[in-house]
Amino acid sequence: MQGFAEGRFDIAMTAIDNVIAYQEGQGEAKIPDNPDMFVFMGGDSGFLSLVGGKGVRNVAELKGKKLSVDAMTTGYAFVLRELLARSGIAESEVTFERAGGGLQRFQELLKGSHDGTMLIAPFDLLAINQGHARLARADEHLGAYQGVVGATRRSWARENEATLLGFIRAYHAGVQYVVDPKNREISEALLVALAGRTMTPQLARQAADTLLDPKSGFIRDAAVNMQGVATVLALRSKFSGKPLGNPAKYVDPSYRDKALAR
Amino acid sequence: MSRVLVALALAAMSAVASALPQVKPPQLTPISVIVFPGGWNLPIWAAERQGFFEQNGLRA
Repeated sequence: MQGFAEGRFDIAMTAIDNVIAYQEGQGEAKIPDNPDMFVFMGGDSGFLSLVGGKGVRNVAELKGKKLSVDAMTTGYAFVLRELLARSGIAESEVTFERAGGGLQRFQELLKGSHDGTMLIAPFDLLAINQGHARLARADEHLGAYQGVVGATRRSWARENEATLLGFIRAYHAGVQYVVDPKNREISEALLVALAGRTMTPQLARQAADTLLDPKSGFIRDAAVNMQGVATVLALRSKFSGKPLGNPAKYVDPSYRDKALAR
Repeated sequence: MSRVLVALALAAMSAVASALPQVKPPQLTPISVIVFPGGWNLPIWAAERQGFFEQNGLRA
């Protein structure tokens, strides 16, 4: 994100909470104030699940246990904290431990180092295949949630409108391609080839079910889910202590609308 | 004699080729994108391999 904020990348595909955090000066990396970022299109709803450690079968069993996070102030940690709160578990009743990104948290969960963590597909599927339980799916408990988005800097977008519109059209065509059932085998092959060493053909079949799901998979029209943005803002407001309430401050749908207008 | 004919034929072909208008490859605008590794990049991978970026004038 630092490289993106400093202009070394034109576009970032990242969680919208990241964009909001950096715009509000709450990001993990040190970057200049007001990095001029905004969201121009939506990608997915996060594919987030709370997965239990060895022997943990439901959220209530997490009381008194150790949970891993990437950091306490990231969007996905906020989702975990909210899921606990909705299950009647106070933060004082669990221990949080920083354990790095999704791959590291997944590996530590399997080792038995932690009793629960938030995982993004396909790590949740990998853990479930090895006997762990999915304790909660974020989208089933929190309602609409905006996960990955396309983001860039407003100044770059103004100066490179045709390029940005081309990127949106290409990405949208990519979504249309992968969700087309006749391209399913190619989609699974792409996952096996490019989604890391853990992606076996069997896991790719399961991951594709999640990623391509008509309701909760990739956002078909590349639109930002503004209700989902409101959820992200509500969580960041609650856990950061800074009220954030205007989704339009972070999202400009005009480029996406123009790119896909027919 | 046959070598001379071949040489003449090649020279003639070369002259014709140089007289034809040059076909330039389409200009693609470079664009740099940072992503976090994971399966959620599937649409971008498909766009790369199916030529959707090139079709939209981009080299991602």
